[in-house]
Amino acid sequence: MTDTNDYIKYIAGLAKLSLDDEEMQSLAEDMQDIIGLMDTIKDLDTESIGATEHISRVTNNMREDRAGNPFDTEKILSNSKHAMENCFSIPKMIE
Amino acid sequence: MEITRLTIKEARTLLDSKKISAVELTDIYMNRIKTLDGKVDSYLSVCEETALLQAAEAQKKIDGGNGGMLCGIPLSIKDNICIEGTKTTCASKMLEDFIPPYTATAVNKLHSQNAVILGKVNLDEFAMGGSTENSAFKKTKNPFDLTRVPGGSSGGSAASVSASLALGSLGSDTGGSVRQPSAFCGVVGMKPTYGLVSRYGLVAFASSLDQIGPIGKTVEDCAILLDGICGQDPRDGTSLNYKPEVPYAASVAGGIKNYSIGLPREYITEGLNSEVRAALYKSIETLEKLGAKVEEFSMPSLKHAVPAYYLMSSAEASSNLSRYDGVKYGYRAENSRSYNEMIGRSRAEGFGREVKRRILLGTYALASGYYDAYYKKALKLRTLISQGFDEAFAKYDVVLHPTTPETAFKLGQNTDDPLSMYLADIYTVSANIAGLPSISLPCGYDSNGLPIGLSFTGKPLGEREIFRAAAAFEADFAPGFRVPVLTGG
Repeated sequence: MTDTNDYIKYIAGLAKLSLDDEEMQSLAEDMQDIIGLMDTIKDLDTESIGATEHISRVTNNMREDRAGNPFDTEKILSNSKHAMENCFSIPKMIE
Repeated sequence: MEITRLTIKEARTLLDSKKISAVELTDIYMNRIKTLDGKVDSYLSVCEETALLQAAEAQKKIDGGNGGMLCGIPLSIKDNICIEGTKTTCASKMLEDFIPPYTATAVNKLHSQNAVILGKVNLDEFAMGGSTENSAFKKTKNPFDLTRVPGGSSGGSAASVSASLALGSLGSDTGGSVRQPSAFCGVVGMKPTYGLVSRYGLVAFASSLDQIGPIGKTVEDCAILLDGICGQDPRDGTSLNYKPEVPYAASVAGGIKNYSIGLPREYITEGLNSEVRAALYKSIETLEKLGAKVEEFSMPSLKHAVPAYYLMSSAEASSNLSRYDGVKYGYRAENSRSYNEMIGRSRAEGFGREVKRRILLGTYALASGYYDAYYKKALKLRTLISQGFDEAFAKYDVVLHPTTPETAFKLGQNTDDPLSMYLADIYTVSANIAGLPSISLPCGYDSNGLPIGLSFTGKPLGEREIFRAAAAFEADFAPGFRVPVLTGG
């Protein structure tokens, strides 16, 4: 269980979820059961089967590269409480 | 006019013959929402002002003789489908204040046909769940029994149609999210072929599986709604360059004499509730009486559909939901000391528990050392399942199956048991995995009076066949069709 907990902690880090210890523990318990279900396909022999990433029946369905109307900057910025001078502000990146 | 049994088709006749105006019809629904939605809790936001303006505009079209099938028809929209200027929350704290700067293509199409949008309806957060209990804001109730769930994730859509708080609705279906709540709430819901309806403006969950789909009281209503929203969209590279020669609504009739229908043996499992099983076999008798030939067939890959679906959908979700970092929109944790802390805390505080589970599972499946064993294996199963359906459709016009293993369960019953919830998706996920059209409609009621759903799944772009099969069954079942009894005030 501790190994699994550590691994889930590592996965949460990759997924950028800062979980506290209590939530981490409880989610790790859920994940044990869920991964158990996923394990049921692990040993199936699918060696000769190709992978289908996307079921779409179209490929390279590109629209024409034509200039359109851009979104209004103000409208885009209005969904952030942290906009200033036409930019989004964030905490300092260089630590 | 009996509002609880009114269909889009009948409303069209009433509007066109001036027996009712579009504003009067919208008013009726607004009043029902005001008096009854406190019990059902299907709406997250109601757009009364714009709805009445849209209705007035629709009336002008009707008066001018230019009204189409959806002109003046009051609809609800799942709250993960964007409407410019109207809050779109995905039932998540993450998007609690999000106001989209653009409108989804499907809704734009409704706008251009002068449909009336009554409001945005509840869902499981980011469409992840099967009970609508994962909403961050409210728990929607099943109109047939207010102590039970409406299903999910489009629970608000299905409940609003079932309780006649809208004439129809748009939901989204990634693994059954239109069909399962439709089955639980005793209405008709369909998932179109992947690519038939544009996903532009549908908040992404699992992009290779997501489709917007209609919910209505009848098969014909679903066909009318699908006619209104389908078609290629340059803004969605996966949308198909296909428009049916004859509108779907015009092809629901015709019967199913000599139809060949297959029932996958792998779906008749121990987990199938005895009353649902009995309703399925009674439905088969009806279909045979109507001239169809029904036989069982085997498709072993279906046994692995649930884990394959959860691996694929969660992997895609973990990638799609990485955009919620608190920078440009969405929830941002206060007082973060660094950029990384801000992202980690915003996501931990903004997402609910089920969304976190899916992100963790998806990240796990894609992680180095696990990719081949989980994600790639799931993609290979996708090939097997698609091939299995190809073989089935070489023999059968449509595939028949139950929509859910059980009827609607009690609120809170499965909240702490995600695994049971996942396993209950057994009959719906394979249509998404293979990109096929599928429709669920009521076929009976259990001893508690709860609706039971029956599904027809078709070949790619086989909407016509599933509509026809469902409509034939529905015509026979219609005298027994029930609507929930809700008293307001």
